[in-house]
Amino acid sequence: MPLIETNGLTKRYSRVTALDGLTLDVEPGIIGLVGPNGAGKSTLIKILLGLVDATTGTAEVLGLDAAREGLRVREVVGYMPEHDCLPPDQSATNFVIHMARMSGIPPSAARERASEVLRHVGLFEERYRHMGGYSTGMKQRVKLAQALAHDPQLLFLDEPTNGLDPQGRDEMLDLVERTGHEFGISIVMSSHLLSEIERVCDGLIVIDDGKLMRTGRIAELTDETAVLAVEVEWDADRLADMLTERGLEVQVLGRELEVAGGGSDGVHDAILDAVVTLNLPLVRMERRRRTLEELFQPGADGAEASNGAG
Amino acid sequence: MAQAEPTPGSGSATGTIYDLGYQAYEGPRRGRGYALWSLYVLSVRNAFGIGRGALPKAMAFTLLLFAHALAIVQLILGAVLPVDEFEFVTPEDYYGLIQFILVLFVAAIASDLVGNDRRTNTLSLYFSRPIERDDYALAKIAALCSSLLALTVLPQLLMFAGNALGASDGLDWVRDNADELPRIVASGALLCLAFGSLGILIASYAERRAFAMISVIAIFLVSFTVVGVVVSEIDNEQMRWAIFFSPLHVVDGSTQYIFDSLPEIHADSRRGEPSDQVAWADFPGYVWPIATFAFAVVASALVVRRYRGSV
Repeated sequence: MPLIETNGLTKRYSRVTALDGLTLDVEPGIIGLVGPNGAGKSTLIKILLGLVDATTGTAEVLGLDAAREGLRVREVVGYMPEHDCLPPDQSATNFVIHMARMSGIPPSAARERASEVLRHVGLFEERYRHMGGYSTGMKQRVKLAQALAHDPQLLFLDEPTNGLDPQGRDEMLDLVERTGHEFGISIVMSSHLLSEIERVCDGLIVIDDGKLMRTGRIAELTDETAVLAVEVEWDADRLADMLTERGLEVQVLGRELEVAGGGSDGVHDAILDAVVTLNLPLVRMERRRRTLEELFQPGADGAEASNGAG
Repeated sequence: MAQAEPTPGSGSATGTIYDLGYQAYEGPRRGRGYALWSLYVLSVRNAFGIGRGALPKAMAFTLLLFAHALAIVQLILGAVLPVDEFEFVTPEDYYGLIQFILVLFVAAIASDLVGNDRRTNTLSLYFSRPIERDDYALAKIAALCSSLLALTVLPQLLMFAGNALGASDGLDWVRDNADELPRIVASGALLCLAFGSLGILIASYAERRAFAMISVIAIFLVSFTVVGVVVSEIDNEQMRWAIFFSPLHVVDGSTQYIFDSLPEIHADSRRGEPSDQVAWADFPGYVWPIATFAFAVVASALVVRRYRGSV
């Protein structure tokens, strides 16, 4: 069963189109949701939670129709909003217990779950104190804990590292990764930092201006765009010419060549064949993945590829 | 279980503690009705400051005590004075005498019940739970209405019980006055519905706490005063419609009608007590409980509408 399936999802407000014909098919895992501010990320999450109705199109979450079965979706989904949302005059423990009960967990189980998830996010003695005095890092942890309180099958995390210092960021990303990979809870995490997405996510959804720019597994994405870096002692130009004749995409950078399509064996063999034919001394040949950041830089060839494929 | 040995890579203290693990939850999920009940119970507890700081508790219980003051005085006098069936305050006038305390209670609590969730943005967490937005609105109204019962019906019942005990023949007294009980409950419930839903409505629009409190007090008391003055000063038959703009007048009319004690109309009714003004308006008596109920319905509908609009 796909995690999320949308079909021609469109949301128009009186003056803006927040989502424009979004069709998605997302498999379980940790999924990064990327796009600039105002791209439609929050609107998408709200539609998937059944809180906002789409203008046209359909959305299914865990096989449930988000528009008609919002209650059942929210029973098995957790949500961590981007902004501050914690009452300052309550302790983390009481608050998470209450939120677990709001998700239908009976009282004694709610207490157990609260201490369970607060321990999981790394809040110990502090959890009995009023949250008004918490640091940003502690607040983010409580926000994650309340989203986990009812043991959801899917978590929506809206910018979970927002406002954290580098160390807090690292800890939060570790926590997200552990939650997703060790406990088998699927996660859709929005972020505007590709390096974060690359670090913890298995899959990626890129939207801009309400439109889908790219979706897929991150490994496949970086595979497709991987290059083979070939370094020869001399005559790099002749090698480049020969490879170009054979239909490969080559860039010469001094003594080094970058050959596109580094993921496939054919390219690999073609290069070796050319090196042997020209009898050149091969210094090294290595496969290089591009980072997501390089892929989505404006003007980079990866960005063009991302518009075409998808 | 094997003795725990620190392994390379998982040696950090926090890492070890995290690794105590995460347990999946296999138990029952009780769904919407139970979630709402949880929200309602928490809200009622919040209303009386239970589980919160000393200040909210002190405020709520002080007002609760004030609301009982007249009943307590009645009980003490009834017990000390050597008169049979002494009545210091009558049940039909009770709510009118403590109406300012009730307004203060609504002002103080309504903003806590709905304002806090909106101010701290906790609302977005509630809405991500398996409840609907309407449910949230109605649970909050129900919480304030039923908290108000403790300030209205409870002191009346206390007074009723005390009067029965103070009478020379308690059983006889209860038999003679048994019809008061349903009247106490019905008039009190109508009052709580109207006050509670109006209070939540006003507080749901006022972002800041102080502003919410002042708005509640202003809307109840200013309408009460202005309508009172307008009716008494402007000698015009049509002014009788003005009474519907004052919730306190309308609720008083409802209580008086239910106790069958709407005053007789006389030459000075227009300039008299609120009850006299209500009588002067000369609508059929049943209009008042219906109008009170209508206040509650319209206010609740507007609250629901308010929450449907927010995401």
